[in-house]
Amino acid sequence: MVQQRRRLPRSLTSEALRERIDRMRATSGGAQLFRFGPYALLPLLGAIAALSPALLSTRLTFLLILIVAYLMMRIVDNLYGVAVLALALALLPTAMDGFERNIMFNVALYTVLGIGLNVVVGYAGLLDLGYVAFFAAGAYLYALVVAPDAGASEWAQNWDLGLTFWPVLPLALVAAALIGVALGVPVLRLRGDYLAIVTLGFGEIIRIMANNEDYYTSGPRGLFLLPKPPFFGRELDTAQELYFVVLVVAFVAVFAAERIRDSRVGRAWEAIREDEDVASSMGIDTTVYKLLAFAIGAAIGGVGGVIVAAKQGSVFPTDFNLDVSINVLALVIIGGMGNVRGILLGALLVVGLPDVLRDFNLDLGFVTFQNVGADYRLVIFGAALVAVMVLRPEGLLPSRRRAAEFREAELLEQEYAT
Amino acid sequence: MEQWIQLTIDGITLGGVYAVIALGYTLVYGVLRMINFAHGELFMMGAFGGFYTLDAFENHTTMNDSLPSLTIALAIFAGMGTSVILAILMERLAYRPLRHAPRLAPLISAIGVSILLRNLMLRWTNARRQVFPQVFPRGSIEIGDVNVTYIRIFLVALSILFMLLLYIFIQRTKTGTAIRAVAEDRDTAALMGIDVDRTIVLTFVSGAALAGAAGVCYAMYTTNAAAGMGFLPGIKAFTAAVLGGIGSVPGAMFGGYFLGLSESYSTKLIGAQYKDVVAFVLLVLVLIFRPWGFFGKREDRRA
Repeated sequence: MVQQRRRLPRSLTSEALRERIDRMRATSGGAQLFRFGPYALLPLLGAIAALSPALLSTRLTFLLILIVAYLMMRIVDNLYGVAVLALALALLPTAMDGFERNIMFNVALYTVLGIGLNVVVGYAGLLDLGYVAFFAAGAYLYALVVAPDAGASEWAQNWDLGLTFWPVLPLALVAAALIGVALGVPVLRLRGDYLAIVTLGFGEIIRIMANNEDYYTSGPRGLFLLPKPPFFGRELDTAQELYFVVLVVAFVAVFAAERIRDSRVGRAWEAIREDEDVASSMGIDTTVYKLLAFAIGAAIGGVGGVIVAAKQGSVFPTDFNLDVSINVLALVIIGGMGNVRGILLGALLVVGLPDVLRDFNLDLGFVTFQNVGADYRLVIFGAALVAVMVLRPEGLLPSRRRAAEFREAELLEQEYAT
Repeated sequence: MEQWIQLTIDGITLGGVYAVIALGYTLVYGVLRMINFAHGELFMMGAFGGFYTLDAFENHTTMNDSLPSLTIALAIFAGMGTSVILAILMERLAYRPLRHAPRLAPLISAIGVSILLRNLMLRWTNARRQVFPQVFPRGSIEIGDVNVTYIRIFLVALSILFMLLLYIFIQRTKTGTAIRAVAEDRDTAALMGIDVDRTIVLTFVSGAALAGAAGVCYAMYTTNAAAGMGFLPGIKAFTAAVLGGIGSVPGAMFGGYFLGLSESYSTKLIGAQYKDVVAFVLLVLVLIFRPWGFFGKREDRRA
């Protein structure tokens, strides 16, 4: 009740308030300051890449890359900038060792997942805590339809579909989208907190099913010895080659997501996010658009699942626990909801950084925390989620529109107070 | 037949635990219109509060021999205390600053608190289950072919006692009236001279005390405490609260028993491996067909 009264339509907010929001938007876009930024940073990035094996420790290199990537993402706002970023990301692994390449693979993979979840949470404003369901669906689909080996399930042995990675990719896209719609239909009427809990339940149900449907999934024994993606007569089996696959997928996903956001569909999502009742009374078919958001988000998650199954060469039910959903949600929120660059930053911080700090020991004098990155990563995420919500609810690198939305309530509050 | 009676007893035992936790969800939802996602973690922290208190008394076995009831009471109060302190901190640091933020913000903050506490305990215990000291006298009563352990009787009786106490607290005391007033309309309650902030803290405190006590009892019942123990009971208790109609105190009690019994019977009807799915399926069905629950008021459909 109270909440509803505060959400005034835009047209009713006072002139002064609108000015303040405009001012805020103007100051948050520091883009003008760094017109030449991307070009100036390219040599810097090259220098780091070239010098890193010789001069710097791997940890420091990664931190530097993080900083440069952050700076670049803040200023990249045109096609050239994106091209520079793409080139930089493509070149990075050549200067890295196997451990770091694995980290980069994970960062790229979680960027893809983040983009998918962002369609649901960031664009359409539907909080989904069961994103792992689609990720699992993609991974298990791959494990079931590729050429079976000794580690395949009974079902896969019996049917022997013998597909390879590339045809499974679009197949998973469609299958996951359908699952997204199937799970979306029952929750259409739910909002906010209820939606969160029910989707969380779906994620758990999928995991419990994977654990128990022995005939299809081999249960907790898992499926293994899965083939790698073939590529002109050879197999893509190193982390670096698979990193390129994810990178391409990531760029396609980013491109598609941004195009959809700026289309009629994206505007409909925005309206639903702002106020579902108003949106539907303005003639937006909320059912269709909400299902579309679930379907697109799920499709991207499914593709991520296929890639990870191919890279690991195995799938186990324990790979698909709640932590995956939490990680993806954390990176979307910490990075900045609704913004692709924010998601990349989020993936670097949430997935990359803990791995880099895996065996880092923090000595505070009176108490020592060992293996901070490996052991305390989720503790830190928990605290970070609270801190981000309290201090900067729009995330580190939000879309300007989303930032304005999050601040709007606050500004209205101040407006009422004066 | 004996098997069904046994399953009913199982269901009532479990249902009591769910009902007591569900009350916490319902109370907090009533005043804040927010699902306290970290409530299951309060249950878990309560269990550990009891565990470490008993652990600190190294001679708990001798103490237990002479005064078992005192040991049990001590553990339960320690659990309640731990949860209450955490709930106050939680409300102050993670929820109060977000009281006027968009709805998504406090929810994400609550998820953060939940992840933080669960993983903190996971590190603390090195991801190992802690064996809860056997403070409760073993033994059971035989009624025909049905076997009822003492701890079950204790659990059922205690959950009913707690529910009665809470009901009296909410309906008969001044603070309880204030809680109901804030739940009804926060702004009007403030105009009537009710200290809203204090009332909200007290709501958290009463919910947390119940969760802490339930945590200790549940740990005594299952004879272990683990960092992940709050997750499923938390979700199920939430389901119970929704079943009964979130915001309604008798609804939460009904929902708890209903869920406990459904889960217990499902182990026989569907199979034990899908026991945990029952709660989720019930939740989805209720939210689709009767989102205001069995005891909620139809007009404030909040789902």
